[in-house]
Amino acid sequence: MSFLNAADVLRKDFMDTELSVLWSYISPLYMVDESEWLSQLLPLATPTTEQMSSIDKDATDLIERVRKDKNAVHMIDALLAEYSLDTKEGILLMCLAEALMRIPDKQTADALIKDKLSVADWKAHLKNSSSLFVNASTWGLLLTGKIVNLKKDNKKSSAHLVNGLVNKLTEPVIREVMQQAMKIMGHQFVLGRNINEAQSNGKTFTNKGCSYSFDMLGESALTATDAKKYFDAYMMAIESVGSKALNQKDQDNAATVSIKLSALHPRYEVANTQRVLTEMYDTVILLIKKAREVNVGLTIDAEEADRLELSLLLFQKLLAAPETKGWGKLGIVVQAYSKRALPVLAWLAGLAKQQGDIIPLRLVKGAYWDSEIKISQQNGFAAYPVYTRKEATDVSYLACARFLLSPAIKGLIFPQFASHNAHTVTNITHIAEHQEYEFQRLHGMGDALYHHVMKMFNSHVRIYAPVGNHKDLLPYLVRRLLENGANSSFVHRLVDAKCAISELTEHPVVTLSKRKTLHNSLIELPPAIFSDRKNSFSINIDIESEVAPLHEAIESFKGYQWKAGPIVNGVLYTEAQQLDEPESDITSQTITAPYDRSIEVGSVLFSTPQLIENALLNAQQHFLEWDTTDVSVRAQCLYNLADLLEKNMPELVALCHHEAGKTIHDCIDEVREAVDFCRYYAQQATDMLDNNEANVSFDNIIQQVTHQGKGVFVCISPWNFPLAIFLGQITAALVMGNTVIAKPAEQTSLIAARAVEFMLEAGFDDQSIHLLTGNGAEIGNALTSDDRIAGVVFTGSTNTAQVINRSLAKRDVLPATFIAETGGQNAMIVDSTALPEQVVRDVIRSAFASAGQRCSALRVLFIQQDIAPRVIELIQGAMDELSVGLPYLHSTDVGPVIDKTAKDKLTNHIKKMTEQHKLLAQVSLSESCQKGDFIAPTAVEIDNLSQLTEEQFGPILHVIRYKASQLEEVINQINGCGFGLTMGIHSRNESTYTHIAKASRVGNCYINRDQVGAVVGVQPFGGQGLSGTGPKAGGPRYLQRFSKQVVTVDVEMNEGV
Amino acid sequence: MRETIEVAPNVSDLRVINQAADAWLPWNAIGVEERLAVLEQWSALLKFQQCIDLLASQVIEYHCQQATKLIAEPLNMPGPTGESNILSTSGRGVFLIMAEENSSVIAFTALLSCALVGGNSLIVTDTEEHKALFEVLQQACDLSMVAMPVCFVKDNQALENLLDDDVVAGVGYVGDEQKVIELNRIIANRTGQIATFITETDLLQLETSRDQNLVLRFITEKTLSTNVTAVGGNATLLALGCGDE
Repeated sequence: MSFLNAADVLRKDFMDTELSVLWSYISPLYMVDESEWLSQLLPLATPTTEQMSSIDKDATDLIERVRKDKNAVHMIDALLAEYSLDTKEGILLMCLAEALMRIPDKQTADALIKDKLSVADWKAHLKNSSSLFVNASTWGLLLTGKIVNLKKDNKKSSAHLVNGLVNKLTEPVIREVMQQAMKIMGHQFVLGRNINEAQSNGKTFTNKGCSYSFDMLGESALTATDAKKYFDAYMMAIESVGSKALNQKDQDNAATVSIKLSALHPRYEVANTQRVLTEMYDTVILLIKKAREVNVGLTIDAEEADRLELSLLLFQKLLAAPETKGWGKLGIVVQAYSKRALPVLAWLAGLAKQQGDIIPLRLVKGAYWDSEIKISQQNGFAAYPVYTRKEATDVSYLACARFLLSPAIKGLIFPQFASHNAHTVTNITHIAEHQEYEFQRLHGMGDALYHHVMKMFNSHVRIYAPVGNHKDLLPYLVRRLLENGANSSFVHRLVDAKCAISELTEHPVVTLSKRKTLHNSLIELPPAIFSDRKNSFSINIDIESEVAPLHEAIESFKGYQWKAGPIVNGVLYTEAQQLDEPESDITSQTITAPYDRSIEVGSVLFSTPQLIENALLNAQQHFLEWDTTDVSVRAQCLYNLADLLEKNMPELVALCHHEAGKTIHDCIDEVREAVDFCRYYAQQATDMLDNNEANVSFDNIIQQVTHQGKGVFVCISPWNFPLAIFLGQITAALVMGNTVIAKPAEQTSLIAARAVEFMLEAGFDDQSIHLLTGNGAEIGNALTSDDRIAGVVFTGSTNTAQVINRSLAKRDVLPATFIAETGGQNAMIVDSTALPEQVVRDVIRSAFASAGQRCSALRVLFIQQDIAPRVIELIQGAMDELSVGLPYLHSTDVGPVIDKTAKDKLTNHIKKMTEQHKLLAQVSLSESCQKGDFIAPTAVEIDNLSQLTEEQFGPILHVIRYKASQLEEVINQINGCGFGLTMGIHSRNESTYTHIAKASRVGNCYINRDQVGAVVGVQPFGGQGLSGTGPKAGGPRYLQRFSKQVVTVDVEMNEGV
Repeated sequence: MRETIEVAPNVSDLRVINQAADAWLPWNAIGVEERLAVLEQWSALLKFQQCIDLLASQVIEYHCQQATKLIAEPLNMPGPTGESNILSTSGRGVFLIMAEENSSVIAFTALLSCALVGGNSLIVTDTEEHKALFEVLQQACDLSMVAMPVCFVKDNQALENLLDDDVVAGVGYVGDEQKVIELNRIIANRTGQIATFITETDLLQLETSRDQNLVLRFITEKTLSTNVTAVGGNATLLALGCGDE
């Protein structure tokens, strides 16, 4: 890996650097240490002393002019200032704005209005703002809220009837008023409902000398149909803009069109690089051809950080295409909050130099900041791809601007600086070493600012203007509000007379340098988000510099043959010769890959009765010693194991691919979960066992309470989480002082044996952990019928749990501890306030990820009938895009099911369902699936839950439509099925989702997200009823069940009591 | 008012099961705080009952204190920005609580109090030995204006007949070890949910009754995960991004 030295970009000969070298600078900066890199950027962003002083003077002048301008405070600026995103009311308003216009049924729309307006303090906002618009809106909200509240408050009063009548009259009125208010809000941000209207509405500013870049609202197509729809809209926009005489006459001021790549292909992601570079390339080339034909510049918008490198590869290919060569109007957007921004600019300049075509380039600060932070934390990446301070992004922006405005870049890149910050704008005008650049602002924002910028600096300004239906406003609106909706944003402070100008003109270099650290210590790095333990580590497989070493290490296990067998007293038995028994009594089994049964992965030796007895005997004999080992020693074994698992992630990923058929994301998640279990239980046990407390019991005796293990635990684990659940059970039992006999699933014995080898390496006593591979029923029965067993922890089917329970109960000893985690008939309820695109993403992941072989997977989707056609259409389209196949390929979404038995059972169910019900969609299986146990992801529409008799553990989604008035019936149906594991809810109505969550008898309830992937210590996991006994794995009460309380009474302490 | 349901010999009786199941929902819905108030009232009133060992009142008090520590407040779980994860508890459903005659009123009361504060409804035997206990509980419920979540059957045999019913979520027992083994077999032989079985056989030391975490055996947990940025906007994070540390 080569690292860029930031100062080098200003070297005169820097642009002579080879393009491949410039490219190599990009990826390594993805995870670069933020402070270290910022210390390199600071000198680039620092103006000379003279420049600093003139920037300060001009910025002050500019702000004073804006503040004096009567038109400075735009209606929408004022509204945002009053209802910022850090107020409850601001968030409620945004919820309404984004949801109300797309809710088809009145009943749900009225309920949403009631939900949002009745809970906020609108009165507090009255007269805070000097804007008439804001106050009028507040009055409206206040009155509406009061009317809504009246109904609630007076339900039991004598005025109930009268109020009911008032409400009957007013609800439609309220809805209408709110719709209008939201349309006004949308109007502020959207230039026109179609491209012609937008161009017509844009005349005012065109006449003032501004030009436009039109953006067609809508993004992230989930289906090919939607992608085609967006393509047509872009094509129409290009044709329309190109046909305007004005545009053709004044090419310097010509309007351009901005496109979002995610709108043009349903699988615009690194995993589908090939499709992006072929299918999407073909689509974009058509747009380029048309744009060139009618002389309309085209700009490719920037999106999430994971797709940056992919977007650059596509851009390179597009730029080099004959259709583009020599044009000079294919533009791109770069986000300054990205740590990779500077080398990206350098590479683009190199690309332009190589081809001889100028590249128009919009430099923005970036609008996905909060989701980048969230994703990095969720995934446990080493660091963030973006800066964590606002002023750090500003510094990066100015460093990038310095590079773009340097003489060497003139003629290679045409910079377009998008900012609403008066200081940034002024700074740019002062550091520019050439004048070939323009400013850009958003439609509806910064009108006054740029009015004065044009006057003061004679700058050219382009307006980025969204075009489209107000219903598609949401994602755009959210990003704008995120950028400018907080009280701390420049837009807010600019119009806030209370904010001193000197605060606004402080140079970001000065601001950042004043901080204790250049990175933001208020935002912990992803590995440190838990105060008491390290977050499990992961790598981003969408980033070249991250995935390449992992991929190479995984590849080294290709063709490897693993050998497994029982591990008793620290000895691994893999060959019959190791056992002192007749060969006829010994079973060895060859393991083949679920995705291709002709591939042998290894072999497993089965446990013999003698080994089972040895394990029982030794586990029992060693219990006392292990139990009295200090908890810190036991916990350290868990910490060591966690580190070993991370260190050996490539081998474990390879094993999970080849033995369990898991996809790459699932493999990494599997290892991470196992690591989290180790660290969480180690920390929990230490906390619990180190704090032996004295307390006064009910009989006033002062007692010392300690905990100790219960004895020998049998851990029976499933194949669907062969490492995570396997180790979760075992480590919980061990850390509390129990010894363990582990019985892994037959299908995943190789992984289990390797895990136990790592345990022994981590320092667990040889006699504390024993592994018995072999036939589940035989070994299970031998263990659970043995009097020496103190407890059993099991994850698997409800039926097997009952069998184990009965076997334990047959013994003539007191009941053993039994912790069972069993199946579910998991539902998701979606009402008509939900956003269909978000729902479908979550449905696809919840139902089909891991081939539906997760206990938590979605089985039954209840959709309110008013939005069912659209949601079902999207599900069908999204399923069409799923790739089922070889699990080790990054492009594979769905791998095989575990074995032929599972495949046959699922196949029978699909057959039965499709004979009796309506098949909504079924993914077609490619040739690569022929040799393995694959099930095509399938969606079937049924009438009610009673048509399903048992859990189907595979990629099968059942869909049920319901009427808004039937919600209670739906909840009752779900509760009535007896299972209670997971449930998903999608609704924008807080009252609705709170009610469903409260009324549903499930262990894990997920709101407005997918319903799989519970994280240890964050989302303790486990069900109720038929779904399990509890306590929840990965939760604070789990370890209690593995220990018993020991009370000792200290006579001395009790003297005189 | 208390009503003892006469159950036919050797059969499970749906009436009492349904009654207890109906009683469970409102009792579970009122929340831990309110249940604690009822139980504390019960404990306080029991102190005035000369016919009941004072320790019965104290054992309720003790487990109420423990419940306050262990389950009164839902836990906010730490995690990535932009989502809220809350771990709360709820009752498991209908519990049968039984005790051998003259075994230990204190142990029986410990099981009752933990089951009740956890949010379960109960079916118990209507015996002379425990009559006062329940009369006082009825008073406490009346004072708090909540329905008493306890149903009665005539004798232990009638209670045992109910073990077969899938609706029964758990069983508490005070008595001897042999009976525990026997009851455990009956419970394990059921289909449906696996019932929790909590026993006190150490009638001298009262090991189970002393367990400071006993209430945890009577509850089920629920994790509620909410994507708080579904609509967009992560105000907390935005504020941190502008922090001046």
